[in-house]
Amino acid sequence: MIKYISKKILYAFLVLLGVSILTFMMGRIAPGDPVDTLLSNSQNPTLEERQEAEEYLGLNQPWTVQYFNWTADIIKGDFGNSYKTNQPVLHEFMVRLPSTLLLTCGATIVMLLIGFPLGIASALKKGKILDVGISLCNTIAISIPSFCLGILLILVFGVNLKILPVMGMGGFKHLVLPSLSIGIIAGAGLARLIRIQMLSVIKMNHVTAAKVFGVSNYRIVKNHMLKNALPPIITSIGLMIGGLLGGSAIIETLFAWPGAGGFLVDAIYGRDYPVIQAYALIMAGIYMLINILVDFIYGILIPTKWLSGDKNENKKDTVDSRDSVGLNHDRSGDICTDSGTE
Amino acid sequence: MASIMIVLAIFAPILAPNDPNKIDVMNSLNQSSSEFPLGTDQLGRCIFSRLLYGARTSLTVTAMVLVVTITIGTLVGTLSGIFSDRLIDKLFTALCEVLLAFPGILFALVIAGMLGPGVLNIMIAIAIVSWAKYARVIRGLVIGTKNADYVKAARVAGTNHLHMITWHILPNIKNTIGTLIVTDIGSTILTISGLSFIGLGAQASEAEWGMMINEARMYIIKSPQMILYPIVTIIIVVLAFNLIGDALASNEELEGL
Repeated sequence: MIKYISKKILYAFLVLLGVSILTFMMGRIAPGDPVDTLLSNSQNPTLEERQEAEEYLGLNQPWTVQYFNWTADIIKGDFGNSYKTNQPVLHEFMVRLPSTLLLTCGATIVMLLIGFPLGIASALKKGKILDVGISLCNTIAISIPSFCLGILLILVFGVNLKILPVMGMGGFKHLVLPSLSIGIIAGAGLARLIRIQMLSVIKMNHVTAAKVFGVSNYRIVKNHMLKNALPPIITSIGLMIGGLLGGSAIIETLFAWPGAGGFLVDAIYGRDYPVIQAYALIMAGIYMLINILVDFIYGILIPTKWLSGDKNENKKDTVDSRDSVGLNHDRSGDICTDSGTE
Repeated sequence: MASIMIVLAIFAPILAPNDPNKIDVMNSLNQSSSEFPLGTDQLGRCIFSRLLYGARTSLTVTAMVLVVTITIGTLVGTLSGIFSDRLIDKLFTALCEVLLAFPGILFALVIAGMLGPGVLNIMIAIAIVSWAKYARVIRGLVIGTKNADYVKAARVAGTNHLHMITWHILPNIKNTIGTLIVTDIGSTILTISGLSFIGLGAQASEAEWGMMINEARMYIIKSPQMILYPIVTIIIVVLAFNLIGDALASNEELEGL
């Protein structure tokens, strides 16, 4: 078990390393010279002033040294200061992160509430009118961009019925519309995945045997089908939650939700590179954390997983579910694109 | 439906009743009329014409993104498939893992943010993010095909790598690649419109669906039809491509893969 988890953590660490290299490189090739930004106050900076600034920023050192300094700072929790507010980026981030996590939780709940019932129902009634209806609805839902769904919800509940607030963050009511806009679409994607997984289990011998023995439908679904179908579903849910986290940037902008995604969009307009870099790294970290957590849940549900810490089997599982997500759920829009690309 | 949309996009200049960028403030926020079939926006521009031109923007950008990603993906995928278990394969696989281990749209947002707004930049961003997925699938396919008897036979007969790839391996996996592309058209359109919606893609003067929705947000109460038309257009187009993709995928028996 410890071996299994530590392997996962090592993997997450390697990915983070890769992400940090990519982010660092992007920060270097991004348009705009940091020296100019620093010297924007003084008119006609002299050559010496430029050199001093370069030294101050550490730009006179080779890239590798710069990268190590940068990484060392980040490990110490110093992501630099925002160009715009001159506040430490990390602090600004931590202020906004809880609201993004709250939104992601809301969306996840909506996703699970929609995905499981619909997916199971349409798998059990395969080929019947209910299945066709649900599948059609799912296909339509994954063709809607989350922000469009958000706008439609605003039009119906905010403008016409005037029963739900459409802007900002407050009580529970404020959470409803943004969560729905992300959750419904992700839920439809999840339902499609669950349907496919359930269908692959439904033909298994032990399910038929259970039917022959007269086990109740509810118990067949719960004990015999879901249990077998669950592993790839759980992996995908983990990936999808990560997608929700990233996809929330657009929805946060739409609903003026004071979260990290909206903060990123503002930073992009303001060319606030430290903020963008910090966003990439922190989100990658959270995402990895979610995945490790999901693996942990996975291990509790299927204890044999602890033993099979051997690499190939793990690999096979993740690749399988990733592919099915990639091929079938990738079209669920901004949200599931992410889970798809996983 | 999808082909109608492509035709509409190609012939947009002929079909559009008005210049999509002609500003006529006197006629702003009109309802539909014979002159403006779907009314006008806040600057008096014809919404119908803008939707047609928007189809051009969305479809060309999508096509270009897919061409770039599929080229890189096929190249890398075939290379690492052919030379699997050598250093080059390990390097590419590691790179793909890093790219795939991270939510795509988040990454696209970050890259587009670093590069700054503009259609070209979101194209680069989406391409950087999405080629890895193709590379991995194609690598798997190539490895699968490589071990088929006829490829082994060709190898024994002394065929060189390039000939083997172009004549024996690629023709065999081209249908699957085609299906992959089609199933991805919808999601690419969604990503592009999403990035444009938050102002990263097309700029205000260009006609693009996401941008139109963003502009129409301000007038959501005064003239909701202005925002509804582009939304409905996006949904119909993406739905059409997704249905084609679903049909192809079930033909190819990729559904449960």
